[in-house]
Amino acid sequence: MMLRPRSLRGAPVILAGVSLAMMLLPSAASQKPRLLLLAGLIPLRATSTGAAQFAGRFIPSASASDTEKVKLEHLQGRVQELSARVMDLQGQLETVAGARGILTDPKLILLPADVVVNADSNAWRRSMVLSRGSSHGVSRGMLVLWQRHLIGRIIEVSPWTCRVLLVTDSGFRIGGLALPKAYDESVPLANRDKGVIEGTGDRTAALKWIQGDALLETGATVVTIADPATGVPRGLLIGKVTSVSRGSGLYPKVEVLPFVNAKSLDSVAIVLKADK
Amino acid sequence: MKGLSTAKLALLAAACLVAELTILDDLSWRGARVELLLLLACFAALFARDRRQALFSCWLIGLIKDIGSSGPLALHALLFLLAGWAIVSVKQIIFRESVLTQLLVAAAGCAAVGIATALVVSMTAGGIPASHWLTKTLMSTLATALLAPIVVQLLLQTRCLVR
Repeated sequence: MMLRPRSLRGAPVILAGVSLAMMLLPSAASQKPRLLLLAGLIPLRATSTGAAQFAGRFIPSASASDTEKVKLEHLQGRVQELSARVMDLQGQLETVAGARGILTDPKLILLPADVVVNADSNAWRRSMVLSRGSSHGVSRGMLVLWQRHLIGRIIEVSPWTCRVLLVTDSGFRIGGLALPKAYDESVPLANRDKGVIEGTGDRTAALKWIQGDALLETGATVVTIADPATGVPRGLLIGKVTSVSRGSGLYPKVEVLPFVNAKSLDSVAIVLKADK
Repeated sequence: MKGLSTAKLALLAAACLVAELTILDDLSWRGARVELLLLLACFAALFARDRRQALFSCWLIGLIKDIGSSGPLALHALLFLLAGWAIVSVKQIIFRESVLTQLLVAAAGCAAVGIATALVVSMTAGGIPASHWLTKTLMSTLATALLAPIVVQLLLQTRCLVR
């Protein structure tokens, strides 16, 4: 039998040991360098938008020799560039204005943020990276909204970027309430269908730990319940109930489909506290 | 034949990571997508000249995948290393140029890494429903395996990318 040299036999063991040591690092230490590396994509995002606009200006035309025509095209390109900027700012304004109505606490400030990466390389996790970090006052645990919809919560922060755990991630948990489609005065709203919203790692979430006899129905809107300890306001929209299955267990299985597809978002708003 | 370049593989892995986070994520079906970086690791394990380079390349590709992940750092590095080790161990008894071999190696690697990752996520973050495990792993494995021979052939033909 042919034996391999000792150095070759030991290589995978060393690499496995290094991997295990890295896995044991606290999340705060391991996420920061990763988020810093992903910050490199911020200029790429801006460049790709700029390049597309720049390329649009130089689409060849049959009689482009005329100076006035070239000037006009240049100005048209500039108008297009500015319109794109206005649309971008309008999107941010709508995001912030929509959420402002639901945040009654004057200490809460909404910080618009662009989405840098809206996917996770781990197929079982749901997260996105935003272009705001600790230098903008962002810290762990802050909520991320799009208009009146809850998108997720900040889990890690670097100076220029942060990572958001989406509502559909299996590690996401928040208090939720399923609003009935019709009001029943015999049951006070405060007592109805309260539970915990947990992500499933897929495109849906689940409303868990609600009483088996709760008046749940398909199509009911799921919103957050107020939690002063974590600063979660009441009534942030999450999604709608798509299925309710009452098996033999104590609690029914309630599937919630978020209203907003996080993949399609370009900008969101981070809820900051004024004292930060 | 000239051996693979670890630096070029790392650069290619970075490009594949961007593709995974953008195009492939958009093309995913119920979260199941082609594991391009895993395919690259399988390629490195199959075609690297020596065992040490094969394993180091697999580990490095996994570590690059971890950059875009919200999970523990080096989880994919460890899993890709184990997958690479398994491939290197059987390399002598398989015909690596065969399309079927490439397909089966990619399928086995993708299924094993997928299940192991889901298990770790369930333990560290929260439970993933069993139905999601099955559907997603199956779809992801199928898509990755079907693409494997094409990617391998592409990498073998365009030598400047990896050598």
